[in-house]
Amino acid sequence: MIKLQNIFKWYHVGGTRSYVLKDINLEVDPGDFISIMGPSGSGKSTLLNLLGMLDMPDEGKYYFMEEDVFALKAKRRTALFQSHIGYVFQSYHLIDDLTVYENIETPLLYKDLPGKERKAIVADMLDRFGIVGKKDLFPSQLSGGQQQIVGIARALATSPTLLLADEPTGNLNSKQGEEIMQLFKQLNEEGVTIIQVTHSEKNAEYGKRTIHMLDGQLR
Amino acid sequence: MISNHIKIAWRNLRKAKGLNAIHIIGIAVAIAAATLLYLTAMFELSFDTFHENRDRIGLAYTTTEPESGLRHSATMPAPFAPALKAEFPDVELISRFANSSVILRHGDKQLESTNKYVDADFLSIFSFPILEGNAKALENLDGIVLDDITARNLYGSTNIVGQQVEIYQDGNWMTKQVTAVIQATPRNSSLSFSSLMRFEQMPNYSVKKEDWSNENHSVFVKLKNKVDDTKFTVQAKAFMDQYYKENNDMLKRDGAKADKNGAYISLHLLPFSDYQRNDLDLGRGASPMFPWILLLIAALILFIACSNFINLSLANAITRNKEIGTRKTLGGTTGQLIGQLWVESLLLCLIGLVIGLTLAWLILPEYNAAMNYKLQLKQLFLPLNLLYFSLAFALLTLLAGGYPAWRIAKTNIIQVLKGTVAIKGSALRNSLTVLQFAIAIVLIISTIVISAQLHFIAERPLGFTKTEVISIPIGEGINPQTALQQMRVELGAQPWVRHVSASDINIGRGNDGNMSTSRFGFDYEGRQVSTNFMRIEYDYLQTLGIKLLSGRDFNRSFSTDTAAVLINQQMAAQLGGAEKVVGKTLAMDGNPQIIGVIDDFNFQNLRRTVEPLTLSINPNIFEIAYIFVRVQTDNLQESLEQVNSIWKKVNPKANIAPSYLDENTQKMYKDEQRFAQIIIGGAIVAIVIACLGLFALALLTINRRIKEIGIRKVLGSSITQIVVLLSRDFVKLMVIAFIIASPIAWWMMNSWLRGFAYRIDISIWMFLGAGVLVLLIALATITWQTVRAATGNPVDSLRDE
Repeated sequence: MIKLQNIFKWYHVGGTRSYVLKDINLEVDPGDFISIMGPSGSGKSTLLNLLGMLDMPDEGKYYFMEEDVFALKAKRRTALFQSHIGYVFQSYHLIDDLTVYENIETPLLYKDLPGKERKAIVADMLDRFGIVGKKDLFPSQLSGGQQQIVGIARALATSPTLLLADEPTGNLNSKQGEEIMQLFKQLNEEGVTIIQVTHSEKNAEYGKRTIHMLDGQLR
Repeated sequence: MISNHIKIAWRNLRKAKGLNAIHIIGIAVAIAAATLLYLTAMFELSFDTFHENRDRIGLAYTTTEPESGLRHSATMPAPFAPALKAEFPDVELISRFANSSVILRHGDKQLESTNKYVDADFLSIFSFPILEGNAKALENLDGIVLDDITARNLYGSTNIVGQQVEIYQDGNWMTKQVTAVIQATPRNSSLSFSSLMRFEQMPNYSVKKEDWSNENHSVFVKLKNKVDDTKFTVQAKAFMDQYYKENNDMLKRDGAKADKNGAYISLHLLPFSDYQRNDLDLGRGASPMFPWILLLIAALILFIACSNFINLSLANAITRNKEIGTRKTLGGTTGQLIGQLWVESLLLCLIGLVIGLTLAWLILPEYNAAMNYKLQLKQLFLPLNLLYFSLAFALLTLLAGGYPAWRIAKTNIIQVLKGTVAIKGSALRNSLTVLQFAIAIVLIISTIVISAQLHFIAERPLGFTKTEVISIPIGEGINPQTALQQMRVELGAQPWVRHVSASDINIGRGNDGNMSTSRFGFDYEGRQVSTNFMRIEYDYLQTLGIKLLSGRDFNRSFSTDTAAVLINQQMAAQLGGAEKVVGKTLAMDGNPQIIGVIDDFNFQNLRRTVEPLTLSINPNIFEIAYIFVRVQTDNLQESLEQVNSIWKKVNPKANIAPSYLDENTQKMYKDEQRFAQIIIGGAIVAIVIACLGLFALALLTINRRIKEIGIRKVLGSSITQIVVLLSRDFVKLMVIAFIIASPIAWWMMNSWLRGFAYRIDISIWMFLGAGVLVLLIALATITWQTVRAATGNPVDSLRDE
């Protein structure tokens, strides 16, 4: 499903290259659940952003479902992103001015789905995550765990095949964190490929395999 | 999607009420101001556009360049037009055009009409809509053409072709036949009249018919092709050589300059599209720049509002950054995001537009009254205007909303989400702020200079008393000499009346709205001299308080004084000096003798220096048309009313109110005052909108530095130091704006002032005054926020980590 070949990413610091990612080679199969671990600054988030097509490497190739991502036109890449990838953040990144319902609806709007279909999908999501009663509340009226659930619901609204999560439980207490991880496991069992970045050994154990990173390299 | 955009936009709009109110007010005020200016400019530019083939119509004028400088004259002698038509195959139609005013009577109805004496071709040259009859109506020598208003007032109908109408002209009632009825001349016609008669009906026509030296009307021609002045001048050289040989030789003898064709007097055509406004002092002679200045100010005001929009959106973008980044991770394309932000600005602009147009609609009656216009908002909704407006609106919203949207939308998501990106709009933002204030400063300096000049004109001694002198336009319906006699008798009995006199030319612009000059040229000791000429009556000098420098005034005890003249200093200088000229005779009608020299007084407006002037009381040269009454009173208004009631008794038909001379002289500068009002209005609107923007900008930028301020306070900075620190950036921008604005304002005002013979010097305090004023306004605008930021408790600003 995913194939990274010789990915390099660097910054120039005073004339010398400072590598963020160094010769990354990675293959991910459909249905995988990968946890990326490593200390701060080891390049975990950068790698995840690359996988999520939010960032570009300086060198290397990225094949997503047999397509050479970085050779694609921006429009095609966005289409690929819209139909296959969902993103979950540590700090949720819900839009403050939108209600729970509208937050979940937003990616569907960008996919240009007709109103009826959107309504059905959002209702389904609300139902599935048990937040029907909260659909007209704004993010500031929810607890952190609830916000992250909305964030996941939003990421799943477009039924992505790949879910990317950047420390999804980082801002949550352990009980809320556990709930989220249970949810991930369940999703993975339903066939969603998941790649998560985490600091917590315990969370990493929910994954099928764990990748360790240090100084921009896989170990 | 769109409905979602609108929903979100509406929610955002309500959330940031204060900021958006500033957006909307700024745009609404700008749109209201721009609408008024646009309507005014469109009206000014629409002059005479209703004439078909107007590119083939021209006004004939001659150009000479005597030692005193270039001179254009469009007054022609009676035989000129027939001769030109006969000798010039290119001239298809030609018509003379002379002013007069006549009294019309039908049954017991009687009214005064602004009449023009024209030739048979007149209605074919121009496209004045004919309601009854046809363009050949004036081929009938005894025909008269009336406009529909006059026709209705006299007959109650416009279907009156073939009816008889009586006209009072030259002391007699005559009968004429109505041959056509035209629509009243529209407000945007530079030629306006309510009746037309044949030129041959002009009083004394038979005498003037072959007289090449008496010039008293203008001539319009319609060529077979488009008017081409250069070509026409070359073609007309033979004609001029034949008919103007004497003038040509005289000019050559007196040291005039020849034009490039070697002629000392040349014939030109002014394209009729330039008749209303041109730099040659011909036709209506309004400033050709005026409508364009209006449009420029409108554009500048819109630009200022637009810059506000861009600035505030960019500054506001920092708070929107996170949302935009999130939206991108949810799959929003740049196009979709720009769409959303554009819809938001479109919504703001639409609200601004509605409020702005309502505002314009509310102000318009006031504006029309103050500026003497009859503009209507519905003129905006002509298809072409609508097109311009929609285009301008789309461009404005696209620029104001689209650019910041594009800037935000194309930033790197990762940085945006991490919060490490700052939209780097500060260079653009600063330039826009500088430009805004530069525009405001230019307008304020202009306001100061124009006001100073108008004040200077109003206060300048004119060489005569203008405060206690009442001028009465005699008008038609009474013999002027009889009127003066009776007024002298009636007013002589009043203790508060000091002197009564009269002249043929008013001082300034009276309530009849007429201004005119008469000029004569003759040979004096082997040189051609020219002079303005005024027919006056006894006691003129005392009435107007004009100083006699040498010789004596006209005196009733000298019966020969009807053949004598007074001259002013300028004229005396032309004749060889004030000491030598008294007692000399001039080669004018009746060879008058100079009996005295008077002080120069400004009998024309202050755009011109005092020209040579000759005064005569010879009743055979011109008829008097204005009575002057010098009063001595503590209550000017009451005296004016008393004079008016006595005048009504003497001439019951009088319908033009008397007025004081200071009012008349002010009226000469109506255009300048209107210009000043518009500039002042523009300056106020510009500074208000610019300050609104500055206020919001300060709000946003200072909020971003709240933490820095907290740290500085913890480190021991005083409140004053912080206020200075925060204000310094803004002051810097103001100083740059001032440096940019000053030379532009100096250049503009200098060229405006050059139009006045009597003018103020632009002084440094006008610039510094404007600069300091703007700086103070700007500082006052931001002070509230800087002080609020500086006095805040640092604990509050540093706590949230």
